Amino acid sequence: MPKIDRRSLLKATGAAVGATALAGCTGGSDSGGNTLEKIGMSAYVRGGAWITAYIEAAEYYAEDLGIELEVRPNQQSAQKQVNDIRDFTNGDHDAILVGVWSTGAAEGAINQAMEQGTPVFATNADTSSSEIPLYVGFSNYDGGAASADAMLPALEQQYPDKDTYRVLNVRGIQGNQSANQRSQGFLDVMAEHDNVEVVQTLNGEYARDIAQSTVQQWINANGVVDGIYSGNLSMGLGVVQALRNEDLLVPKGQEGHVVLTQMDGSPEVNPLVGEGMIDAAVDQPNYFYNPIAMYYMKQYVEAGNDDSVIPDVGTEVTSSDLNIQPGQHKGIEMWSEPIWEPGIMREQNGHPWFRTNGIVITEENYEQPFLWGNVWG
Amino acid sequence: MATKEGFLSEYLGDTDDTVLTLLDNMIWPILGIVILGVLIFVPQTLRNFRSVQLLLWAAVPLGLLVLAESLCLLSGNFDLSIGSIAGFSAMFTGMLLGTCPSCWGVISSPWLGLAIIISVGAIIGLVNGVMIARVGLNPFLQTLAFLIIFEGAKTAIQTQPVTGLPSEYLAIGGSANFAILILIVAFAIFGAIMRYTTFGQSVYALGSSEKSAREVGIDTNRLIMMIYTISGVLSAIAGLMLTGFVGVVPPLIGEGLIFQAFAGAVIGGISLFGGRGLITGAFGGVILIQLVQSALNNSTAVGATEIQMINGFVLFIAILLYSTQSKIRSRILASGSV
Repeated sequence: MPKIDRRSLLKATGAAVGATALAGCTGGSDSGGNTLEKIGMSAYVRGGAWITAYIEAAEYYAEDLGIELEVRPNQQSAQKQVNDIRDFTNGDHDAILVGVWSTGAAEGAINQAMEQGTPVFATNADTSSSEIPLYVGFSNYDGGAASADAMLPALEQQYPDKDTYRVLNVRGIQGNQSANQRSQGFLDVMAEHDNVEVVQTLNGEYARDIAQSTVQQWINANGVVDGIYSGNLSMGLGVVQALRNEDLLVPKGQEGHVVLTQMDGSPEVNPLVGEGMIDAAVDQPNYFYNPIAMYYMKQYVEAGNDDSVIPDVGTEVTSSDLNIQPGQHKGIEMWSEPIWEPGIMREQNGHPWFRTNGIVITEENYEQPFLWGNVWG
Repeated sequence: MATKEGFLSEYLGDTDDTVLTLLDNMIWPILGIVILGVLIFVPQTLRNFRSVQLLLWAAVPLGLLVLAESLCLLSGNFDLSIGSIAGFSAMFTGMLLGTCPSCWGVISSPWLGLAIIISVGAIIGLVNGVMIARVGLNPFLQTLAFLIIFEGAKTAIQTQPVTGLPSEYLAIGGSANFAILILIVAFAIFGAIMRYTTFGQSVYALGSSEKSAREVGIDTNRLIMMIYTISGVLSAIAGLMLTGFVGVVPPLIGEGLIFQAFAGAVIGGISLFGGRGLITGAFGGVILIQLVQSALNNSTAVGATEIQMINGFVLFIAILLYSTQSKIRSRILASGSV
């Protein structure tokens, strides 16, 4: 006998309630059946090119699918996000996409939407709600670990005669989940290597100016280190400027080069990787997050809010299983290179997590059009 | 011939004068103690001239905002919008000057850019002043509204870093010595203005009692408009300095600085209730904040997760000292010996 858990029961109830409501109601966009015609999206919309790519890709993909997408900024407020989710649920939206601002804060509103038959899919930043059908995103912990993995050979190559390496960890905002995970991933990998000493973790607060002033003061006070890891692109660029100000910014292979790895590429980061100033940047397939979520969302809604369309936890998803149809946008054939693959289905916060793959930007690939930083300039 | 009683009274009066002067300048002994502590426990923070230069350079944008806030506080008002004005004026001018794909790129002269950024700050500041002085809006509500409006307007015009700015435009905040010089000159000029000019004395009078200031013939409405306009200009220059420091206009420029600006002014002895405090003290407050931050970052004994808490304690201790100072001052003044 198949196991019926609380989530499945709520979904079935939600679908039944939704179907009943639809049967007795002539209004609404999906009165003709289970179709995905209008999506409400609540997300952080400020802060740079990264988030612009994340949002615009959602808009382009929705346009390609003929779906109306309404994007509302969360204004860095969990309360605003909760309000918007409730508003979407109460309105004529068929489903909701959410990049959660504060992990636990929107749980009640998300559960309520699910119970009322409006499915909520999370992207980029996860919710603590166990009810959602899917979360699509990168692993921040794995990203930090990949940055450490990229730094280790670069250190050995740059300083073959050294026995131990001194490195700095520049982390994001205290208490921020992604900042913690990115930092911890890096620290855990480095802790496994006796020849690497993480001499200090500095607060860069995800801000370019703070990372710049903090790192240049620290280096001046404590001496040059062999490597620096930065937890996001703004801080990485602040570190580059700090080294430039201290006359320490030289390309890899040259004497005095400080090995730099960081999270995220960008229009500014990618050329610096090409010049050898930054050794590696671990990038996210951010312009795939919302299309992947919408791909499954469409199937889910059309199947009557049936979560069997979501790949099972533990499976690996490749482009043969999931085909995001390329489209002409911003002068390129967007989504033509499935840099998200393989996607690994994991469980997080009691719901499925489509963990996308990351991509390491190096001198070999920094100009490729599949890197978002080369498209959103 | 002076009697014994007269001599004592004169002596005690002199002592009280000395105590009051010390209280007015309390930030400096505090700063001295903190410097001593830093030299003992985190000596690498001040290991060479470059350390001091880097510390002061990083303090330039905050310093200008503290100066702007101090002027408003001394006049019995305050300005919540200084960070937003800094950010918006920098972003707006950056969009006009920048060559990034999404920039407007309509001007190329760095000098015109300089004129524009200052004008934008001045206009926003003037509107703040007009709304408060002429329309009679509460300063808290007016500047809160402008904080929200201009932070939002900055996002509305650009969400990506503005790049491709002229090197001369960036050089103003990007050259450590020049930026520090601007900060010191700004504090010196305003310190002198507040101490030696009618304008400065009028600001103190306004901050002590608006009614009394009006009764002695000060045009308080005009004065408030002038103060907010100056505050806007100083905020815009802070935006210019931030732009030069970073080399681009980052999308979140100027955000989160307002609380530090208040902290710098209050630690420096500027009264939250107006009419009391020295501009030189506010400068000391800026240095103290930056020094503590730098020392905490350099200290291996303090973890990254503990820095904010310790910063908070430093602010709390400074507020306690400020409160004690106010009580001692009141007691001396109530004794009538000065």
